[in-house]
Amino acid sequence: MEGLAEELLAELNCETVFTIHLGSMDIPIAESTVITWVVMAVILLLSIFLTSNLKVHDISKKQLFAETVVIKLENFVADMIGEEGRAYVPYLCAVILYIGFANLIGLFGVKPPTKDLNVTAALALMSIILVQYAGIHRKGVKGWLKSFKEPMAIVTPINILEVFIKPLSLCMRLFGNVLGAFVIMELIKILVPVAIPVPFSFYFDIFDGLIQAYVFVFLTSLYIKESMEE
Amino acid sequence: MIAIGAGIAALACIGAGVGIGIAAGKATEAVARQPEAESKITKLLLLGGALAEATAIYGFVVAILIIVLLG
Amino acid sequence: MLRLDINLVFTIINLLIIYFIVAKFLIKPIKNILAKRQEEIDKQYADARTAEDKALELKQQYEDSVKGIADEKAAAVNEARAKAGQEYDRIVADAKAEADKLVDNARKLARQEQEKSVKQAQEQIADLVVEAAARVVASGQGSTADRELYNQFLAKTGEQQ
Repeated sequence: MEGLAEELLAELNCETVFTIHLGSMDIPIAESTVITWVVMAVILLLSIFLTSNLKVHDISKKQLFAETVVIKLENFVADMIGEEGRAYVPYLCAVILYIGFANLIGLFGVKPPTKDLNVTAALALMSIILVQYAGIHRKGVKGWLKSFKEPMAIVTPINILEVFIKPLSLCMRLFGNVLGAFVIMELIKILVPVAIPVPFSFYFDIFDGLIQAYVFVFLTSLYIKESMEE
Repeated sequence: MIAIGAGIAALACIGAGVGIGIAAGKATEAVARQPEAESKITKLLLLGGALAEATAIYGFVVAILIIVLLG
Repeated sequence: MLRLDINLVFTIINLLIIYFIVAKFLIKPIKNILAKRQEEIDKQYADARTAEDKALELKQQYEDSVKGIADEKAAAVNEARAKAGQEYDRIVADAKAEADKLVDNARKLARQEQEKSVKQAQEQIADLVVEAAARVVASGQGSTADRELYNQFLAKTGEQQ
């Protein structure tokens, strides 16, 4: 029993892959950052591969696929955020792609980077900066400050608290989901390493991973929409 | 004590279970009433399930936190 | 698992780079190609519209010319008809004049004939009368003889008539 717990904890730990020594400073580079680089490389290569040799007529199957994916993705995100938030669609597309890839990469036996609190915290931080930026951009600084008094002046502390609660909940939801899925998958893998993990992997890695990417983007767009409302 | 605390934190699963159960039941009713809206209802159900599940996930995270930080 | 350190900053930078990659390398080219396609479709639509306009114009012209031809034709037919009518009238008039002339001639001839025959008849009657008178005078007999003579004369003239 002790061995199993040790093994599990070892799996759960995010290791520092290497450390950069910059003068007297030590900069540890975590596994999640490295895997994020891999995801970046995959997205970059896929994008370049899919968008190379684009033509107006007689399109190839590859181009058809690329166009379908991009249009579907854009419509999907634009449906959630509405017409007013058109400018934020590319960012949300990028986030949904990144979280999707990051969650799916667990299939290849790598630890998903979203299991690291750093990554989800960064995502949530970005989201909340975007939400507040959308509010300021839309209403101006004055209107943005005034929106804290909505609907009554007495709820101002709650509104201010909400600014921090929203990203925390976003961050913890994603982190907990991926971590929970990861823990269960590791447990199953330790107990029965062959055949049994496959259907569970379908649910926890593919379905749950994609659903969480969707939920993250959905909530972010909801917050952006809310902050843009008069 | 730590293990007991973690166990209690994991009780948050109850709420999520009840919530998802209600959501699924209502979704079934809705589909029975309006079968043509099934795709939309399914989408909403998945979203609601994911959001309700978050509660259970919070319990799980708290349990992990208790074990790791206090243990 | 639970650590917040400098990697958070790295992740934010990575996220921004991913955003850049997606916006620049995935969405922009596809958008460009779609915009280009849309432009081309619009252009084709415009071309089709101008072509249609041109065709309509041509059709209008053609119809106008057809209408002109029809008018011309109608005028020509009318003219021909008028000419033919004149000709007809003229021919009919000629024919009538000729026929009148012929009829006049015939009538004149007939009258001359008649006059001639009447004259002859008168002459003969005169001769007969003269002859009869001569005979009456010559015989100078009774009334029987007169009667006989008279009957004789009547039979003679009756034969002659």
